[in-house]
Amino acid sequence: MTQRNQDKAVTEFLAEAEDILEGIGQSLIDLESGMKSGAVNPEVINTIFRGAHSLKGLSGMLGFFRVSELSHTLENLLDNLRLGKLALTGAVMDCLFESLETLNSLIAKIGQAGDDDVETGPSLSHIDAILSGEDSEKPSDGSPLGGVELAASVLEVLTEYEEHRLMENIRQGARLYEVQVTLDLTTFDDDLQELTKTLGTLGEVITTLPSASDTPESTIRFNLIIGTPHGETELREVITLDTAVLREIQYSTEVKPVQAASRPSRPAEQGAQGRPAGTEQSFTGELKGLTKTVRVDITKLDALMNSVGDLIQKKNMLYGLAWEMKKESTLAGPANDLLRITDAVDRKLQELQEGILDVRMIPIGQIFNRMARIVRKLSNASGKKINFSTSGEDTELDKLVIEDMADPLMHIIRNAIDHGIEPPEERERLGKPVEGTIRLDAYQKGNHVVVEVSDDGAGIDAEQVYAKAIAKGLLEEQDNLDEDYLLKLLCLPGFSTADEITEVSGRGVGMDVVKQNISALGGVIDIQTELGRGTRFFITLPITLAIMPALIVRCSKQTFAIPLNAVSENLIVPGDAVRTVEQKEVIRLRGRTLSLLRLQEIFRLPPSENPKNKAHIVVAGLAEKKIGIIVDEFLDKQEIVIKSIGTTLKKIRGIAGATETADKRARLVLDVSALIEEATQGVQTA
Amino acid sequence: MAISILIVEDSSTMRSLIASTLESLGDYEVIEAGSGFEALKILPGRRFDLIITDINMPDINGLELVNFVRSHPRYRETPLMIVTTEKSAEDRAKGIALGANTYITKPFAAEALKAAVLQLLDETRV
Repeated sequence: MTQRNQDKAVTEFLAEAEDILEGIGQSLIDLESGMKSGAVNPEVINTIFRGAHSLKGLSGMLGFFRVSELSHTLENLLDNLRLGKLALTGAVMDCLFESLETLNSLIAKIGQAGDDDVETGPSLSHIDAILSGEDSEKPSDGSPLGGVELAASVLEVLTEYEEHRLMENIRQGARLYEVQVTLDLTTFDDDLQELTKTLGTLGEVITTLPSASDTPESTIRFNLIIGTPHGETELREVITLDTAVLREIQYSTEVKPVQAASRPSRPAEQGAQGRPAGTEQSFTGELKGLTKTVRVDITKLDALMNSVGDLIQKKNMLYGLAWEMKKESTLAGPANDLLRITDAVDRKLQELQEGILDVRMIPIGQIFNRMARIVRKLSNASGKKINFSTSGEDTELDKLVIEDMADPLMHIIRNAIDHGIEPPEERERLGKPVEGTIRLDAYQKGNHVVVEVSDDGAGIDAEQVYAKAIAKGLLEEQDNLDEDYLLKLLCLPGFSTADEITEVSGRGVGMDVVKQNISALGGVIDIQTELGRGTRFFITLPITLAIMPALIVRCSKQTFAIPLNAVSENLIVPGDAVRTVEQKEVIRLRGRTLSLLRLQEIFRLPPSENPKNKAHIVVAGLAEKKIGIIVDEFLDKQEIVIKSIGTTLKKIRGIAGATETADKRARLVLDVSALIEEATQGVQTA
Repeated sequence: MAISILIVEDSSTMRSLIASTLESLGDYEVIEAGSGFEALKILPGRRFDLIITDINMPDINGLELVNFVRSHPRYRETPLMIVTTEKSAEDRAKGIALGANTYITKPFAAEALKAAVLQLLDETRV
């Protein structure tokens, strides 16, 4: 392989490996809840097995031997699980979760450093310990499929796993049926998917065997074998395909059905009322054609989005030109044509823009799954019982926003487990349910997505936080204690310090970093807390960072962009309406006092030549907090594409990023939430 | 005329690794199928000189695909290679019994794949 091919392969590998691990994570959560409710869907184990199997093959090909060693060992464990040679227990679940975590670190290391130099020893020995102890847990199936009358052509096509599933169904006393269908070659996948899904509600589809012999040219025949506790009548009722031929497969009971009760150590197989494990769930199967999806590097989408941004600016120039032409009476006709065409171009550009945005959107459920794993791990580590629930997993956000939300969410959840949820005995004493609850809820609200993280723990003791902040010399004594202020204290750099580092919230990353991360995404964080009842964080995020409408303003000959979703109104007020209260400029707006900031002062710009008798004020704010920003002039509304900014600019408070103007110059985008903080802090500490 | 090859493999990375390796051999046209179902859709409408399939796939597995290929009048004799791992010896043996000509074990070096493909095409040339 050439170096270029190798690099390309590694990039593809990383993307695919992330998908595989994400899928395994989801399946592990499903598996554990299945285990707890006593109805494990065998297909879930098989899916995890396939994931580990693919990862092993891929990493081996690309020379990532630690990944391949661990996924290989994990595959062995999963193989034993899916073949019924190993019982699914809490210890096995722990081991699976641990391996997943190590694999995640390995893949992350490859992404960062190009090598998989991460310690895998503990995970490997954990798996080995389980594998070497397996004999005592479960004898292997042993008996071959001797007693089962099946066409040889079917038997020899069953993989080892399918053979096992067939045996399992027989053991559980299920009836076996063969369903033969002849389907049109162009639509068979949908028809078959439908059929598999329907049959899955009654039992387990063990194999799907395609055949081309003795079928008309444009058709394909499938023989499905299903195991089910139901009879022929029920099956016929649900099969709607005309071509379907149903036949029961007889087998003698040389192979003894085993009663579930005699094997208490095997919850994986204890289906309700002795039915085959998993019959409670429908097997929707995974009949997806993978090549219908395309993996795209997000920077390519950024480039497309930039081009669209440029086009939008060019289109605006065309509009300007058309209006100029209209002023000349002789050109009115062509000018109107030009306006019409520009309108049409505008609509198409919007479609294009929406299309690109849509591609960037992924459901937030992806990180919820990650959080579920973290809760599981931390609740084990801390000895606290936690019930984790989520809603709004389908809420979509820009992929980049979602990626950057993982760390802040994780930190808040760690805090909730460590400082929020009380130990079981204390909860009992307080008359609370022994099991604490942590919820993650996401929903869309206008142009934003709100993510709520709530717990029913002890709440945050504002007095205590306040006292601690004073003791640390982080602030002077004062009264005014509300929730905003509490949050501000919690988010002060250096507030969470070494004396509260524990196993759980551990790393010394404080709420200040959480807040910074959320701010960098153009979001805001709010808090509600009640002593003894719990804490709730509200994180409000823009749906995308890729493109946003912005108000363009001028101040001291420079132009700035203010994200329109942070602007509530523009005012032009007489100069004397601006008053100074306690050294801060304010105006009265509909009976309320609005703090003002001069952009020129914040960024230390040269004095503006704006007449003093009028003030241009942009009223900006998210949620309940608002300020007025004094500028020289309002210029325009534009769609802007935010570019990442260099490290020097990152340190300047009040700047969220930069965007490019039509003439290719950089224009700064204001960070409204940081500016609000600046302004309100001043008032409250005054 | 170009030698036409169908690769059936659910891992996109693996697919493109195999495809780029074979394309480097010269006049080879490589068609990729991301699942067994996709292969079932592609096979009847075309003609392939070689089929390479994975075993572990989500919708129908490689053995079922081998069985289908051999049941299809056009593909009774078409060279067929299965891609397996050293672990799935039992399934591999079944694949050969069902009519696959040869197999290659993951992980493999690009050169090993080239050699195996050339050898298979050479042996089965009529």
